[in-house]
Amino acid sequence: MKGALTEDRIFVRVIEKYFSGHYPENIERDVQKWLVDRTNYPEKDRALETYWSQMETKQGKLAHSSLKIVRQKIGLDAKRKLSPVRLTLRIAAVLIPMLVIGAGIYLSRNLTETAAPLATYLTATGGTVKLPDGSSVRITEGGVLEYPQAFESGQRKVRLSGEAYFTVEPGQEQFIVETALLTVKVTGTEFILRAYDGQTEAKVSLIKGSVDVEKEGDRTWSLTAGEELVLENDQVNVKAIEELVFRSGEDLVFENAGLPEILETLSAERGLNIDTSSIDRSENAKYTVKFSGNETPEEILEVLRIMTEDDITIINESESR
Amino acid sequence: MSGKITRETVLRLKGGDDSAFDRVFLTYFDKLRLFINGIIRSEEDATELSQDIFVKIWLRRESLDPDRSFTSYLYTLARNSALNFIKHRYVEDSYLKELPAEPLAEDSEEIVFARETQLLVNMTVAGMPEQRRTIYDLSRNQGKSNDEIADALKISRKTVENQISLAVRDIKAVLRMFIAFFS
Repeated sequence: MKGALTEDRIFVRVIEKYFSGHYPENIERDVQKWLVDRTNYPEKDRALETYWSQMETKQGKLAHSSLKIVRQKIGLDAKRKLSPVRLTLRIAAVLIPMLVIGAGIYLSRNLTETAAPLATYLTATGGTVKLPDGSSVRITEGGVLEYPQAFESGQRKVRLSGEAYFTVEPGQEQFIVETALLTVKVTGTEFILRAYDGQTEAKVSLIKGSVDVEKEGDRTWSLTAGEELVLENDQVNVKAIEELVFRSGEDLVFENAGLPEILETLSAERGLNIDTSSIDRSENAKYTVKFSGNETPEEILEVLRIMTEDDITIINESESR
Repeated sequence: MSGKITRETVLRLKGGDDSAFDRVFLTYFDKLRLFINGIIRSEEDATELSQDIFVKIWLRRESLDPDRSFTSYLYTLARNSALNFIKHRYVEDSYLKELPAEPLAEDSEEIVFARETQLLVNMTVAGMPEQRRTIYDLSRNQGKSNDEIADALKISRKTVENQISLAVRDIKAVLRMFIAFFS
Protein backbone atom coordinates (compact mmCIF):
# COMPACT_ATOMS: atom_id res chain seq x y z
CA MET A 1 0.00 0.00 0.00
CA LYS A 2 1.25 3.40 -0.81
CA GLY A 3 0.06 6.15 1.48
CA ALA A 4 -0.68 9.52 -0.06
CA LEU A 5 1.78 11.17 2.25
CA THR A 6 4.69 8.95 1.31
CA GLU A 7 3.77 9.29 -2.29
CA ASP A 8 3.90 13.05 -2.10
CA ARG A 9 7.18 13.02 -0.24
CA ILE A 10 9.28 11.75 -3.11
CA PHE A 11 7.94 14.53 -5.33
CA VAL A 12 8.72 17.13 -2.70
CA ARG A 13 12.18 15.66 -2.36
CA VAL A 14 12.94 15.82 -6.09
CA ILE A 15 11.81 19.42 -6.21
CA GLU A 16 13.76 20.45 -3.12
CA LYS A 17 16.85 18.77 -4.44
CA TYR A 18 16.48 20.43 -7.82
CA PHE A 19 15.94 23.90 -6.38
CA SER A 20 18.80 23.52 -3.95
CA GLY A 21 21.60 23.54 -6.47
CA HIS A 22 23.00 23.71 -9.93
CA TYR A 23 23.41 20.52 -11.89
CA PRO A 24 24.88 19.60 -15.24
CA GLU A 25 22.63 20.66 -18.07
CA ASN A 26 21.45 17.17 -18.95
CA ILE A 27 20.28 16.57 -15.40
CA GLU A 28 18.47 19.89 -15.23
CA ARG A 29 16.79 19.05 -18.50
CA ASP A 30 15.68 15.70 -17.17
CA VAL A 31 14.06 17.35 -14.18
CA GLN A 32 12.40 19.98 -16.35
CA LYS A 33 11.02 17.34 -18.68
CA TRP A 34 9.77 15.46 -15.67
CA LEU A 35 8.06 18.59 -14.35
CA VAL A 36 6.05 19.13 -17.52
CA ASP A 37 5.30 15.47 -17.98
CA ARG A 38 1.63 14.79 -17.25
CA THR A 39 2.27 11.67 -15.19
CA ASN A 40 1.52 12.32 -11.52
CA TYR A 41 0.86 15.95 -12.29
CA PRO A 42 -1.24 16.63 -9.15
CA GLU A 43 1.57 15.31 -6.94
CA LYS A 44 4.14 17.45 -8.70
CA ASP A 45 1.87 20.44 -8.47
CA ARG A 46 1.35 19.99 -4.74
CA ALA A 47 5.07 19.54 -4.25
CA LEU A 48 5.85 22.70 -6.21
CA GLU A 49 3.31 24.68 -4.23
CA THR A 50 4.73 23.35 -0.98
CA TYR A 51 8.15 24.52 -2.06
CA TRP A 52 6.73 27.88 -3.14
CA SER A 53 5.01 28.49 0.16
CA GLN A 54 8.16 27.71 2.12
CA MET A 55 10.42 29.94 0.05
CA GLU A 56 11.89 32.87 1.91
CA THR A 57 13.27 35.69 -0.16
CA LYS A 58 14.64 39.09 0.50
CA GLN A 59 13.84 41.91 -1.80
CA GLY A 60 16.75 42.48 -4.15
CA LYS A 61 17.89 45.38 -6.25
CA LEU A 62 16.22 44.05 -9.35
CA ALA A 63 12.76 44.55 -7.88
CA HIS A 64 12.88 48.32 -8.10
CA SER A 65 14.19 48.53 -11.64
CA SER A 66 11.69 45.91 -12.71
CA LEU A 67 8.86 47.81 -11.05
CA LYS A 68 9.79 50.81 -13.15
CA ILE A 69 9.70 48.77 -16.33
CA VAL A 70 6.38 47.19 -15.44
CA ARG A 71 4.78 50.51 -14.47
CA GLN A 72 5.74 51.87 -17.84
CA LYS A 73 4.44 48.82 -19.65
CA ILE A 74 1.03 49.08 -18.07
CA GLY A 75 0.86 52.81 -18.55
CA LEU A 76 0.96 53.84 -14.89
CA ASP A 77 3.83 56.16 -15.55
CA ALA A 78 2.46 57.55 -18.79
CA LYS A 79 0.91 61.00 -18.72
CA ARG A 80 -2.50 59.79 -19.70
CA LYS A 81 -4.04 56.81 -18.00
CA LEU A 82 -5.20 54.08 -20.32
CA SER A 83 -8.54 52.41 -20.02
CA PRO A 84 -8.60 48.74 -18.98
CA VAL A 85 -10.02 47.50 -22.25
CA ARG A 86 -7.28 49.05 -24.28
CA LEU A 87 -4.66 47.80 -21.91
CA THR A 88 -5.92 44.31 -22.39
CA LEU A 89 -5.77 44.75 -26.10
CA ARG A 90 -2.27 45.99 -25.82
CA ILE A 91 -1.04 43.10 -23.81
CA ALA A 92 -2.68 40.59 -26.10
CA ALA A 93 -1.07 42.43 -28.96
CA VAL A 94 2.29 42.04 -27.36
CA LEU A 95 1.86 38.37 -26.71
CA ILE A 96 0.54 37.04 -29.96
CA PRO A 97 2.91 38.54 -32.50
CA MET A 98 5.79 37.26 -30.46
CA LEU A 99 4.46 33.79 -30.81
CA VAL A 100 3.84 33.99 -34.50
CA ILE A 101 6.76 35.86 -35.89
CA GLY A 102 9.23 35.51 -33.09
CA ALA A 103 10.97 38.31 -31.31
CA GLY A 104 10.96 41.59 -33.07
CA ILE A 105 7.62 43.22 -32.44
CA TYR A 106 7.00 44.97 -29.21
CA LEU A 107 4.27 47.47 -28.66
CA SER A 108 6.00 48.96 -25.70
CA ARG A 109 6.07 52.50 -27.04
CA ASN A 110 3.52 54.95 -25.77
CA LEU A 111 0.41 55.27 -27.83
CA THR A 112 0.14 58.34 -29.99
CA GLU A 113 -1.54 61.35 -28.51
CA THR A 114 -5.00 61.22 -29.98
CA ALA A 115 -8.21 61.96 -28.19
CA ALA A 116 -10.26 59.16 -29.73
CA PRO A 117 -9.79 55.73 -28.18
CA LEU A 118 -7.20 53.68 -29.97
CA ALA A 119 -7.84 50.17 -31.04
CA THR A 120 -5.01 47.79 -31.51
CA TYR A 121 -5.62 45.22 -34.12
CA LEU A 122 -3.32 42.34 -34.20
CA THR A 123 -3.54 39.26 -36.21
CA ALA A 124 -1.85 35.96 -35.66
CA THR A 125 -2.81 34.67 -39.03
CA GLY A 126 -3.92 37.53 -41.25
CA GLY A 127 -7.16 39.41 -41.65
CA THR A 128 -8.95 42.54 -42.70
CA VAL A 129 -9.70 45.66 -40.71
CA LYS A 130 -12.37 48.13 -41.75
CA LEU A 131 -11.38 51.59 -40.67
CA PRO A 132 -13.89 54.22 -39.53
CA ASP A 133 -13.64 56.05 -42.87
CA GLY A 134 -14.44 52.92 -44.88
CA SER A 135 -10.86 52.23 -45.89
CA SER A 136 -9.81 48.66 -45.48
CA VAL A 137 -6.54 47.12 -44.46
CA ARG A 138 -5.68 43.50 -45.10
CA ILE A 139 -2.91 42.45 -42.79
CA THR A 140 -0.72 39.40 -43.05
CA GLU A 141 0.08 37.15 -40.15
CA GLY A 142 1.77 38.68 -37.19
CA GLY A 143 0.91 42.23 -38.18
CA VAL A 144 -0.19 44.91 -35.76
CA LEU A 145 -2.28 47.90 -36.72
CA GLU A 146 -3.19 50.68 -34.35
CA TYR A 147 -6.00 53.00 -35.35
CA PRO A 148 -8.47 55.30 -33.63
CA GLN A 149 -12.03 54.11 -33.30
CA ALA A 150 -13.06 57.42 -34.81
CA PHE A 151 -10.78 59.58 -36.92
CA GLU A 152 -10.36 63.09 -35.71
CA SER A 153 -11.26 65.78 -38.19
CA GLY A 154 -8.33 66.82 -40.31
CA GLN A 155 -6.42 63.57 -40.25
CA ARG A 156 -6.64 59.87 -40.77
CA LYS A 157 -3.68 58.37 -39.06
CA VAL A 158 -2.86 54.73 -38.32
CA ARG A 159 0.26 52.90 -37.30
CA LEU A 160 1.49 49.63 -38.70
CA SER A 161 4.07 47.09 -37.81
CA GLY A 162 3.83 44.30 -40.31
CA GLU A 163 2.74 43.86 -43.87
CA ALA A 164 -0.61 45.09 -45.12
CA TYR A 165 -2.62 45.88 -48.22
CA PHE A 166 -4.28 49.26 -47.87
CA THR A 167 -7.33 50.25 -49.85
CA VAL A 168 -7.83 53.86 -48.91
CA GLU A 169 -11.18 55.54 -49.47
CA PRO A 170 -10.79 58.86 -51.25
CA GLY A 171 -11.32 61.69 -48.81
CA GLN A 172 -10.34 65.25 -48.17
CA GLU A 173 -8.18 64.35 -45.26
CA GLN A 174 -4.83 62.92 -45.89
CA PHE A 175 -4.47 59.28 -44.90
CA ILE A 176 -1.24 58.65 -43.05
CA VAL A 177 0.39 55.36 -42.16
CA GLU A 178 3.20 55.59 -39.68
CA THR A 179 5.74 52.83 -39.31
CA ALA A 180 9.02 52.63 -37.47
CA LEU A 181 11.03 53.84 -40.45
CA LEU A 182 8.70 55.28 -43.04
CA THR A 183 5.57 57.40 -43.13
CA VAL A 184 3.23 56.99 -46.08
CA LYS A 185 0.82 59.79 -46.98
CA VAL A 186 -2.01 59.34 -49.44
CA THR A 187 -5.45 60.62 -50.31
CA GLY A 188 -7.16 57.69 -52.05
CA THR A 189 -5.21 54.78 -53.31
CA GLU A 190 -4.22 51.14 -53.01
CA PHE A 191 -0.84 50.05 -51.84
CA ILE A 192 1.01 47.38 -49.94
CA LEU A 193 3.22 48.38 -47.09
CA ARG A 194 5.68 46.12 -45.36
CA ALA A 195 7.38 47.59 -42.33
CA TYR A 196 7.96 45.64 -39.15
CA ASP A 197 9.10 47.32 -35.99
CA GLY A 198 12.63 46.45 -35.17
CA GLN A 199 13.59 45.62 -38.72
CA THR A 200 15.82 47.70 -40.95
CA GLU A 201 13.97 46.90 -44.15
CA ALA A 202 10.65 48.20 -45.38
CA LYS A 203 8.78 48.31 -48.67
CA VAL A 204 5.89 50.26 -50.17
CA SER A 205 4.30 48.89 -53.35
CA LEU A 206 1.80 51.19 -55.03
CA ILE A 207 -1.03 49.59 -56.98
CA LYS A 208 -3.29 52.58 -57.68
CA GLY A 209 -3.17 56.33 -57.22
CA SER A 210 -0.21 58.11 -55.75
CA VAL A 211 1.54 58.27 -52.39
CA ASP A 212 4.22 60.26 -50.69
CA VAL A 213 6.66 58.28 -48.58
CA GLU A 214 8.64 60.05 -45.95
CA LYS A 215 11.71 58.59 -44.36
CA GLU A 216 12.32 59.97 -40.93
CA GLY A 217 15.16 62.43 -40.82
CA ASP A 218 15.55 62.19 -44.57
CA ARG A 219 13.43 63.25 -47.53
CA THR A 220 10.11 62.43 -49.18
CA TRP A 221 9.60 60.33 -52.31
CA SER A 222 6.52 60.44 -54.52
CA LEU A 223 5.46 57.14 -56.05
CA THR A 224 3.21 56.57 -59.02
CA ALA A 225 1.15 53.44 -59.67
CA GLY A 226 3.27 50.40 -60.46
CA GLU A 227 6.27 51.62 -58.53
CA GLU A 228 7.69 50.40 -55.29
CA LEU A 229 9.99 51.93 -52.76
CA VAL A 230 12.43 49.66 -50.99
CA LEU A 231 14.34 50.63 -47.90
CA GLU A 232 17.35 48.48 -47.19
CA ASN A 233 20.38 49.25 -45.06
CA ASP A 234 19.22 52.83 -44.76
CA GLN A 235 19.22 53.18 -48.56
CA VAL A 236 16.05 54.03 -50.44
CA ASN A 237 15.49 52.66 -53.92
CA VAL A 238 12.47 53.41 -56.11
CA LYS A 239 11.78 51.03 -58.99
CA ALA A 240 9.05 49.30 -60.96
CA ILE A 241 7.22 46.58 -59.03
CA GLU A 242 8.82 43.24 -59.69
CA GLU A 243 6.50 40.86 -58.00
CA LEU A 244 3.54 41.20 -55.77
CA VAL A 245 2.86 38.58 -53.18
CA PHE A 246 0.27 39.11 -50.55
CA ARG A 247 -1.45 36.50 -48.48
CA SER A 248 -4.48 36.89 -46.32
CA GLY A 249 -6.66 33.95 -45.39
CA GLU A 250 -10.17 33.19 -44.40
CA ASP A 251 -10.64 34.48 -40.93
CA LEU A 252 -12.34 34.00 -37.67
CA VAL A 253 -12.30 37.38 -36.00
CA PHE A 254 -12.69 38.20 -32.34
CA GLU A 255 -12.70 41.79 -31.34
CA ASN A 256 -12.65 42.55 -27.68
CA ALA A 257 -14.19 39.20 -26.86
CA GLY A 258 -14.16 37.22 -23.64
CA LEU A 259 -12.50 33.85 -23.47
CA PRO A 260 -15.70 31.78 -23.17
CA GLU A 261 -17.03 33.33 -26.35
CA ILE A 262 -13.77 32.69 -28.17
CA LEU A 263 -13.66 29.08 -27.07
CA GLU A 264 -17.30 28.42 -27.91
CA THR A 265 -16.93 29.88 -31.36
CA LEU A 266 -13.74 28.00 -31.99
CA SER A 267 -15.39 24.79 -30.89
CA ALA A 268 -18.31 25.34 -33.21
CA GLU A 269 -16.40 26.63 -36.19
CA ARG A 270 -13.37 24.43 -36.06
CA GLY A 271 -14.88 21.28 -34.61
CA LEU A 272 -12.61 21.34 -31.59
CA ASN A 273 -13.63 20.17 -28.19
CA ILE A 274 -11.57 22.34 -25.94
CA ASP A 275 -11.07 21.42 -22.32
CA THR A 276 -11.91 24.56 -20.41
CA SER A 277 -11.72 23.14 -16.92
CA SER A 278 -8.46 24.90 -16.15
CA ILE A 279 -9.70 28.29 -17.24
CA ASP A 280 -10.69 30.81 -14.67
CA ARG A 281 -14.28 31.62 -15.56
CA SER A 282 -14.44 34.77 -13.51
CA GLU A 283 -11.72 36.13 -15.71
CA ASN A 284 -12.94 39.20 -17.52
CA ALA A 285 -10.04 39.89 -19.83
CA LYS A 286 -10.95 40.80 -23.38
CA TYR A 287 -9.03 39.71 -26.41
CA THR A 288 -8.85 40.80 -30.00
CA VAL A 289 -7.52 38.00 -32.05
CA LYS A 290 -7.98 36.52 -35.46
CA PHE A 291 -7.71 32.95 -36.68
CA SER A 292 -7.56 32.07 -40.33
CA GLY A 293 -8.81 28.84 -41.81
CA ASN A 294 -5.49 27.12 -42.09
CA GLU A 295 -4.09 26.64 -38.59
CA THR A 296 -3.83 23.21 -37.12
CA PRO A 297 -5.66 22.58 -33.82
CA GLU A 298 -2.24 22.61 -32.17
CA GLU A 299 -1.51 26.09 -33.47
CA ILE A 300 -4.86 27.36 -32.26
CA LEU A 301 -4.17 25.93 -28.83
CA GLU A 302 -0.76 27.47 -28.81
CA VAL A 303 -2.26 30.90 -29.44
CA LEU A 304 -4.82 30.33 -26.70
CA ARG A 305 -2.18 29.19 -24.26
CA ILE A 306 -0.06 32.22 -24.87
CA MET A 307 -3.10 34.46 -24.56
CA THR A 308 -4.30 33.04 -21.29
CA GLU A 309 -1.23 31.37 -19.88
CA ASP A 310 -3.55 28.58 -18.96
CA ASP A 311 -2.97 25.04 -19.82
CA ILE A 312 -5.65 24.46 -22.40
CA THR A 313 -6.01 21.10 -24.04
CA ILE A 314 -8.26 19.55 -26.60
CA ILE A 315 -10.33 16.67 -25.30
CA ASN A 316 -10.80 15.19 -28.70
CA GLU A 317 -11.10 16.41 -32.24
CA SER A 318 -14.62 15.72 -33.37
CA GLU A 319 -13.70 15.19 -36.98
CA SER A 320 -16.09 12.27 -37.33
CA ARG A 321 -19.02 14.65 -37.60
CA MET B 1 9.76 44.05 3.45
CA SER B 2 7.15 42.32 5.51
CA GLY B 3 6.10 38.96 4.24
CA LYS B 4 2.40 38.99 3.55
CA ILE B 5 -0.08 41.01 1.63
CA THR B 6 -3.25 41.78 3.55
CA ARG B 7 -6.76 41.38 2.27
CA GLU B 8 -7.06 45.13 2.41
CA THR B 9 -4.08 45.58 0.08
CA VAL B 10 -5.63 43.14 -2.37
CA LEU B 11 -8.88 45.10 -2.20
CA ARG B 12 -7.05 48.33 -2.92
CA LEU B 13 -5.24 46.70 -5.84
CA LYS B 14 -8.55 45.41 -7.14
CA GLY B 15 -9.87 48.95 -7.03
CA GLY B 16 -6.97 50.19 -9.13
CA ASP B 17 -4.79 51.73 -6.42
CA ASP B 18 -1.33 51.72 -7.92
CA SER B 19 0.44 52.13 -4.58
CA ALA B 20 -1.10 48.80 -3.59
CA PHE B 21 0.28 47.39 -6.83
CA ASP B 22 3.75 48.69 -5.96
CA ARG B 23 3.53 47.08 -2.57
CA VAL B 24 2.49 43.73 -3.97
CA PHE B 25 5.18 44.00 -6.60
CA LEU B 26 7.99 44.73 -4.16
CA THR B 27 6.81 42.04 -1.80
CA TYR B 28 6.65 39.26 -4.34
CA PHE B 29 8.74 40.12 -7.37
CA ASP B 30 11.92 38.45 -6.16
CA LYS B 31 10.10 35.42 -4.90
CA LEU B 32 8.50 34.97 -8.29
CA ARG B 33 11.75 35.53 -10.08
CA LEU B 34 13.67 33.06 -7.93
CA PHE B 35 10.94 30.47 -8.16
CA ILE B 36 10.69 30.72 -11.94
CA ASN B 37 14.44 30.77 -12.33
CA GLY B 38 14.62 27.75 -10.04
CA ILE B 39 12.54 25.91 -12.60
CA ILE B 40 13.71 27.26 -15.93
CA ARG B 41 17.33 28.09 -15.03
CA SER B 42 17.63 31.27 -17.01
CA GLU B 43 17.91 34.51 -15.01
CA GLU B 44 17.06 36.77 -17.88
CA ASP B 45 13.96 34.90 -18.95
CA ALA B 46 12.86 34.52 -15.33
CA THR B 47 13.03 38.28 -14.85
CA GLU B 48 11.01 38.88 -17.99
CA LEU B 49 8.40 36.27 -17.16
CA SER B 50 8.01 37.70 -13.66
CA GLN B 51 7.51 41.18 -15.07
CA ASP B 52 4.89 39.83 -17.45
CA ILE B 53 3.07 38.21 -14.55
CA PHE B 54 2.77 41.54 -12.78
CA VAL B 55 1.56 43.20 -15.96
CA LYS B 56 -1.10 40.54 -16.05
CA ILE B 57 -2.01 40.96 -12.38
CA TRP B 58 -2.58 44.64 -12.98
CA LEU B 59 -4.60 44.10 -16.14
CA ARG B 60 -6.77 41.53 -14.43
CA ARG B 61 -6.94 43.26 -11.07
CA GLU B 62 -10.70 43.56 -11.24
CA SER B 63 -11.10 39.81 -11.17
CA LEU B 64 -9.00 39.45 -8.01
CA ASP B 65 -10.83 37.70 -5.21
CA PRO B 66 -9.65 39.12 -1.88
CA ASP B 67 -11.00 36.08 -0.07
CA ARG B 68 -8.82 33.69 -1.98
CA SER B 69 -5.22 33.21 -0.99
CA PHE B 70 -3.17 35.73 -2.90
CA THR B 71 0.02 33.70 -2.73
CA SER B 72 -1.79 30.69 -4.17
CA TYR B 73 -2.91 32.86 -7.03
CA LEU B 74 0.67 34.02 -7.55
CA TYR B 75 1.87 30.47 -7.38
CA THR B 76 -0.54 29.45 -10.14
CA LEU B 77 0.63 32.27 -12.36
CA ALA B 78 4.29 31.51 -11.68
CA ARG B 79 3.87 27.78 -12.25
CA ASN B 80 2.00 28.19 -15.51
CA SER B 81 4.47 30.71 -16.75
CA ALA B 82 7.52 28.58 -15.92
CA LEU B 83 6.08 25.30 -17.15
CA ASN B 84 4.85 26.85 -20.38
CA PHE B 85 8.28 28.27 -20.92
CA ILE B 86 9.81 24.83 -20.53
CA LYS B 87 7.24 23.26 -22.81
CA HIS B 88 8.06 25.77 -25.50
CA ARG B 89 11.75 25.21 -25.05
CA TYR B 90 11.40 21.48 -25.48
CA VAL B 91 8.75 21.56 -28.15
CA GLU B 92 11.27 23.50 -30.18
CA ASP B 93 13.91 20.95 -29.37
CA SER B 94 11.40 18.19 -30.08
CA TYR B 95 12.82 17.01 -26.84
CA LEU B 96 9.67 15.98 -25.08
CA LYS B 97 8.98 13.21 -27.53
CA GLU B 98 11.57 10.88 -26.21
CA LEU B 99 11.07 10.09 -22.58
CA PRO B 100 13.98 8.08 -21.34
CA ALA B 101 13.14 6.64 -17.97
CA GLU B 102 15.91 4.20 -17.31
CA PRO B 103 14.77 1.75 -14.70
CA LEU B 104 16.88 1.76 -11.60
CA ALA B 105 16.71 -1.96 -11.11
CA GLU B 106 15.78 -5.01 -13.09
CA ASP B 107 12.66 -5.69 -11.13
CA SER B 108 11.27 -2.28 -11.95
CA GLU B 109 7.72 -3.38 -11.31
CA GLU B 110 8.40 -2.93 -7.66
CA ILE B 111 9.55 0.58 -8.15
CA VAL B 112 6.58 2.80 -8.46
CA PHE B 113 8.55 6.00 -8.73
CA ALA B 114 11.48 4.88 -10.86
CA ARG B 115 11.75 8.14 -12.66
CA GLU B 116 11.68 10.22 -9.50
CA THR B 117 14.22 7.94 -7.86
CA GLN B 118 16.49 8.14 -10.86
CA LEU B 119 16.35 11.93 -10.84
CA LEU B 120 17.21 12.03 -7.14
CA VAL B 121 20.13 9.68 -7.61
CA ASN B 122 21.43 11.61 -10.60
CA MET B 123 21.24 14.91 -8.75
CA THR B 124 22.91 13.42 -5.71
CA VAL B 125 25.75 11.97 -7.74
CA ALA B 126 26.19 15.25 -9.62
CA GLY B 127 26.53 17.03 -6.28
CA MET B 128 29.31 14.78 -4.99
CA PRO B 129 32.95 15.86 -4.75
CA GLU B 130 34.66 15.22 -8.06
CA GLN B 131 36.79 12.26 -7.00
CA ARG B 132 33.87 10.50 -5.39
CA ARG B 133 31.69 11.09 -8.41
CA THR B 134 34.37 9.75 -10.76
CA ILE B 135 34.94 6.65 -8.66
CA TYR B 136 31.23 5.99 -8.28
CA ASP B 137 30.70 6.37 -12.01
CA LEU B 138 33.57 4.00 -12.87
CA SER B 139 32.30 1.47 -10.39
CA ARG B 140 28.54 1.51 -10.94
CA ASN B 141 28.05 2.75 -14.46
CA GLN B 142 31.12 1.32 -16.15
CA GLY B 143 31.39 -1.82 -14.08
CA LYS B 144 35.07 -1.43 -13.14
CA SER B 145 36.44 -3.32 -10.16
CA ASN B 146 37.91 -1.45 -7.20
CA ASP B 147 41.41 -2.56 -8.22
CA GLU B 148 40.96 -1.31 -11.76
CA ILE B 149 39.76 2.03 -10.45
CA ALA B 150 42.66 2.32 -8.04
CA ASP B 151 45.11 1.64 -10.89
CA ALA B 152 43.42 4.00 -13.32
CA LEU B 153 43.29 6.88 -10.86
CA LYS B 154 46.60 6.06 -9.17
CA ILE B 155 45.06 5.97 -5.71
CA SER B 156 44.93 3.27 -3.07
CA ARG B 157 42.33 0.54 -3.13
CA LYS B 158 41.29 1.63 0.36
CA THR B 159 40.50 5.13 -0.92
CA VAL B 160 38.37 3.64 -3.65
CA GLU B 161 36.44 1.55 -1.16
CA ASN B 162 35.95 4.50 1.16
CA GLN B 163 34.74 6.74 -1.58
CA ILE B 164 32.30 4.16 -2.86
CA SER B 165 30.86 3.60 0.56
CA LEU B 166 30.54 7.36 1.05
CA ALA B 167 28.80 7.64 -2.31
CA VAL B 168 26.39 4.88 -1.39
CA ARG B 169 25.78 6.54 1.96
CA ASP B 170 24.96 9.86 0.20
CA ILE B 171 22.50 8.16 -2.09
CA LYS B 172 20.90 6.18 0.69
CA ALA B 173 20.50 9.35 2.72
CA VAL B 174 18.54 10.91 -0.09
CA LEU B 175 16.43 7.84 -0.65
CA ARG B 176 16.04 6.85 3.00
CA MET B 177 12.50 8.04 3.25
CA PHE B 178 11.42 5.89 0.39
CA ILE B 179 13.51 2.81 0.73
CA ALA B 180 11.03 1.06 2.99
CA PHE B 181 8.62 1.72 0.27
CA PHE B 182 10.60 -0.09 -2.36
CA SER B 183 11.65 -3.12 -0.40
